[in-house]
Amino acid sequence: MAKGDSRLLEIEEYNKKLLNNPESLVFVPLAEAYRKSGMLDEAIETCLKGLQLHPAYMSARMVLGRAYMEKVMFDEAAVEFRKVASSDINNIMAHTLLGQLYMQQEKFANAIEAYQKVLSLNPEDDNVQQKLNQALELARQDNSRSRKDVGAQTRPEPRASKKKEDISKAEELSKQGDIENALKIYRLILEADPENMVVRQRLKDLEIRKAQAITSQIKAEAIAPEPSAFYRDRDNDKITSDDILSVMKEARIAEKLKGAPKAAPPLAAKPVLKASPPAVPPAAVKRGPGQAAAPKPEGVKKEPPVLGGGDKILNALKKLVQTEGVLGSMLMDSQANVMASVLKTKIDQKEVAKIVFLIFKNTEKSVNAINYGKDIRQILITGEKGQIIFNKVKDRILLMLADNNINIGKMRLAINDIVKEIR
Amino acid sequence: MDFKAILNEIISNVEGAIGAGLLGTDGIVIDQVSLKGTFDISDVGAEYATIIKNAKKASESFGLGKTGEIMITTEKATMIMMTIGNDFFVAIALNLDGNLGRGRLEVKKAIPKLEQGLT
Repeated sequence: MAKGDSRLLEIEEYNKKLLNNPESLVFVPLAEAYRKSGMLDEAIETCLKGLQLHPAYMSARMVLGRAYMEKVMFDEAAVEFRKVASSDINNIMAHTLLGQLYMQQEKFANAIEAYQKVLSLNPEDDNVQQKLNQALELARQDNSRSRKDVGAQTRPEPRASKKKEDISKAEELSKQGDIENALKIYRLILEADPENMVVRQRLKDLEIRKAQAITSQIKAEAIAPEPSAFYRDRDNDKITSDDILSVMKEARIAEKLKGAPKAAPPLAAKPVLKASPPAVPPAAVKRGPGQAAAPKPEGVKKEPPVLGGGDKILNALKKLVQTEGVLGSMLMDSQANVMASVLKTKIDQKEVAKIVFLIFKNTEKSVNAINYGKDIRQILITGEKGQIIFNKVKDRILLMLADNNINIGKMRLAINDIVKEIR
Repeated sequence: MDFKAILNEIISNVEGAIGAGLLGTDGIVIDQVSLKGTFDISDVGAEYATIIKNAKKASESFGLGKTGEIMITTEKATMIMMTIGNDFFVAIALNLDGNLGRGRLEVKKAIPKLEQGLT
């Protein structure tokens, strides 16, 4: 399913929640979803209505400010960001966006002040330091230009109004679905004004929309006509085989679009996962004195671990499972093919690999969106009865299952060893 | 209940902490604090909620029961998220050289206090 479609479902879901409880704070993610979908008027309207009930809710003002900013309503955006900044003087995002806004409006002195505030909160932000340098340079140029203009009777028409007109035109075209022409206009504006962050963002969003449209088209033609079950069942905590297939399809399409080498052969669509018992029960959980045995989940196998894969990798995995508390391990490639495994499972190893792949990819998407790094090194999930650890080793994923008594420090050392060995 | 004070207590006791937040599993941010101003989850609460949802799916699928904690390490930072009942969770972000053990401990210590204010 294309991201745009999932966003629409998200909007629908938030709208339902808001309808059930009009006083809910859900209006903020709803407005944000509208904004990200390019429905700026709806985003603004939603925020304004919500803020009537929750005027002190600063997250709503941030979303409103951003929507105004994207609609080129700079003055209105500045009002909102200033409200946030005065309510929480340490809100770095508000000061940064104010800086961007002032740059757009060519109010360089104000931009300098905003960026200086950001740097006082986070002196290590090189990006903002660069922006500050830029603002200082532009302010200097502006001052010397003003001195030359002294005495002149007329001043040229402000460039901003023409820019605003062009942006509105591009926005209109984009709404009508004429992405190509909207892109052309944005590119022209950006050529004349490379520092225009709003237009740069619009251009990026539109390019993503274009790529998504192509992806959807390829999907419709080459894969499956019906919508993925992933989004239909998104509230269900069980992973279905459709979930996995959906993500695998997306990965293959992404590779296709990138012109990457052909992906692995299609995976079987046999819907076994939803009804399957737990894949890897914590059979060997270590217990302290007096501790009752954890209920043994169905599906425990008493046979020796399943082994496979190349000798070097396999030996490294065997060494890993000798670590106290480690119950099993598996290494898979970027297409969810099992390379080696030392796992005790009842269900097929390939299915386990697909579950791991799905979880890893979805988590990676979210972490990228949060902007806390592009490269996930490790994910550790602790449940009541054990732990799952995913490690990225180059483009491969190393899965480890452990009981809750494992020493995380020792486990990390063991993983570092295996990562070195596999590399 | 002053959630900000509790979150502040967490990050001030953990070396290398960047910020902490209290969120609903629906992605709504209840409160957040930031040491250097680089931690702002107001716009990305939904992404945190997606991570929790995926972790719950993983726990269920592997028969590990209810999810208690998620720890994610990237090239930039480490995030620790711990669930509070079924509907809320607390998240803390640390620099890569931050004191991870202390971070986990401080979050665990804070959970009963946060829980009190949420119920």
